[in-house]
Amino acid sequence: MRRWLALVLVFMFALAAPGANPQAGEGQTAPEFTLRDIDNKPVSLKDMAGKVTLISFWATWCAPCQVEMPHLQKLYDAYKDQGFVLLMISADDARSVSRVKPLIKSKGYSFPVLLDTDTKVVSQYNPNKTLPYSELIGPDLKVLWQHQGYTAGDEVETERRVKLAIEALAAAKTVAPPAAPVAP
Amino acid sequence: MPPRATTSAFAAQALLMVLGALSSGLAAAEEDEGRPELSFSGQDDLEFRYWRDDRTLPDFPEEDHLFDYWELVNRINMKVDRGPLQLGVQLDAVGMLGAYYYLNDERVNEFDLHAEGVNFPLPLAYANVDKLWLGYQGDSAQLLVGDGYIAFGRGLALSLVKNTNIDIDSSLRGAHAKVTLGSWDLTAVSGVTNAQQVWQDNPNKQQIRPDQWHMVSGLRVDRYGLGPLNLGAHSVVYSFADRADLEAQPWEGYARGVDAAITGASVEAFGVLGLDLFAEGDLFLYPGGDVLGVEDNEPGYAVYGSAAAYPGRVALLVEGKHYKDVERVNAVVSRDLYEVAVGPTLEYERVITEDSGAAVNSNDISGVRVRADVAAKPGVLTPSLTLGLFRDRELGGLHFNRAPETIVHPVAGVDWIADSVHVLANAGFRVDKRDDLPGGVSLGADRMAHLDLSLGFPIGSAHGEIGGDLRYFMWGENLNQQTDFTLLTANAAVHLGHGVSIVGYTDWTDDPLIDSVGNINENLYAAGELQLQPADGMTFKLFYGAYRAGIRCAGGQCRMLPGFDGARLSATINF
Repeated sequence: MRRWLALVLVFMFALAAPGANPQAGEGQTAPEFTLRDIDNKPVSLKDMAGKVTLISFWATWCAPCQVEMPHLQKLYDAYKDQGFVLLMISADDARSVSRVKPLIKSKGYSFPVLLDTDTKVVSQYNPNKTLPYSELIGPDLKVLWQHQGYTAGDEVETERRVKLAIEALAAAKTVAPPAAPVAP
Repeated sequence: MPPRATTSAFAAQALLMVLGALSSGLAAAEEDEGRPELSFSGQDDLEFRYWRDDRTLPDFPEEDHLFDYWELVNRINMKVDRGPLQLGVQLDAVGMLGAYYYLNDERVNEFDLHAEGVNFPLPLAYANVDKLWLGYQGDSAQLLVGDGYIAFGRGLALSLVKNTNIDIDSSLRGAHAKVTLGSWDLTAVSGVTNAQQVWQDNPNKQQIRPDQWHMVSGLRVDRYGLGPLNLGAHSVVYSFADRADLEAQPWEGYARGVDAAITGASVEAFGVLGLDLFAEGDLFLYPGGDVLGVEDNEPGYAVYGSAAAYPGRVALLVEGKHYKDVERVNAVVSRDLYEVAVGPTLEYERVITEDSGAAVNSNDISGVRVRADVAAKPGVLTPSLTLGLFRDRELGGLHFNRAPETIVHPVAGVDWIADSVHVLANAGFRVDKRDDLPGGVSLGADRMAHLDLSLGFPIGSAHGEIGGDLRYFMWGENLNQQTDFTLLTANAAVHLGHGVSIVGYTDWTDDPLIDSVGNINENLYAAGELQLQPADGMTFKLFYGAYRAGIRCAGGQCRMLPGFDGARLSATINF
């Protein structure tokens, strides 16, 4: 019994020590990536600096992802002109990637969709690949918020987080000092 | 246990200490002007479970059921980022707290069957640095030393990617480099396969074993934006270790001969005459045929193509494949329950059975799949029709049949997603018609009717979900004369808000091939689960009950997963 107890304690220590941060992921630098979108254009996270970016991992075989997508489309439509970017990253591997663009087209979605066919990016952001999985990235490319899974109503919290980040972005632009004069 | 595992265990401890120091100490010193900040993040998947199998062995007392099994599984992923540099580690650990079976009327701890040395950090535990990598992400170059994932083209020649749906996480441990020069990408990898030692969904009893270091080296060149075209070409060579090489070091693979060599090319076109096109062809050479368990060195080949068009409100996708002696490249690694190359199967993998699973890994198969989705109400209502046609000429192996077969598989589906209500449903009928034997002897056809359903709806301020699938399988003539069977899986969930959900599960089956028994009666399984998300990036689940065993296919691979009868507490925490 003592062996059991000691073992459990060791494992729980491993669990608890790094998890001491109650705001999971907040403030960490989002891993950089460059992926191609479904129209063959390369997209890099670093190009999203100065914007509010929601990265959402999904797959064609993931039912909750399909249910969440219409809500993300509405979010994209509502805030895309306010410095908001939505990057839908498909975690479909090479085997099923042909299905991605037809699915997007069949639903009439217009948000950007990127392909991560060798699972490198999803493995960095969410190693256990539970889908859907979202991270909200700030203008400084640091993580503001993470969310795993989708159940009805989650879109309310997602929109609240996005709205807060956009408001903070707008406020920062308002109070930003004028650029220093450049020497001729 | 080989020294390698013990070394890994100590390396795990050292790395944990280093990463902990980096996160707690060095982060405070990151105020230096102009230096990229240090960032530490990770994810912990923990599961504590009790499995029980109440079946008894013949001639043993009834109280001597097959096993009681206590297990604690922990997978910790940690990363340290600093500008373009990244250091990552995945520590897999399992505590086999009690895995008992009965032998000669004695209760024996199965842990004792493991080789000596599985003793880290305490007795009855095993820990392993399963993944370790150092990466550099520059504007025109990405370099990685250690464990990485890689796929070329559509995965026919090389596909070592995570497939967590069926508990597969095999990486390529070595050097990965990708250099971008204008519109050219050059990708080179070389290393050894690194399969996971610790299973997250399967019991770890008797399954922890050292890695077999199979050598893989590959090169791919991509040319993007040649007008509407992307062109690519690749070559991959494999050198497989055999069972006698368990003590071999990874680099020794370079001295072995090549067992399989694959070369291929792909072309992709965007928006040509309104079509998106893809085609790939690969030639498989097997100079080491004997290693792969075959007597001949006949080459194999694979051709895959897809075309997508979007006329009006319709999205049309046509895919075709012809694979001959392609699966032989997976012959050695499949013993360790993973594959190194997985092409598109075109199958509806959720309905694959023990019988039809043979077609997924056939060495001689052609097929086409046509799917049409119609945006009846864009973003809300999307009906679809799919037709799969296959000709499987392989016999033997996993096949239950003695003759080639023709497979016809139509599926109709509908997605309806409104604000707070959704319906995702499809139904289909699959026929595997076997050719008649000489003399006109009919072997009949295997047939399966299937229905998948997911409903979501509001219940007051809460939200409900009902999901399930139903399969009815009818055998044709087969060597073992199996009986027809039904599979029913259903679940109902209530999401109460504030991250609290209650889920009930049930399975019913009379499939005689399944290696599990129900907890309600022989055929009926029931379970319940409480799910809690007290904070973002933190999920706890408490499960009690049973579910059935059976084959599950995902990502082009199939695996027999065990049933479960017991309780488990799981946690996923991002940090």
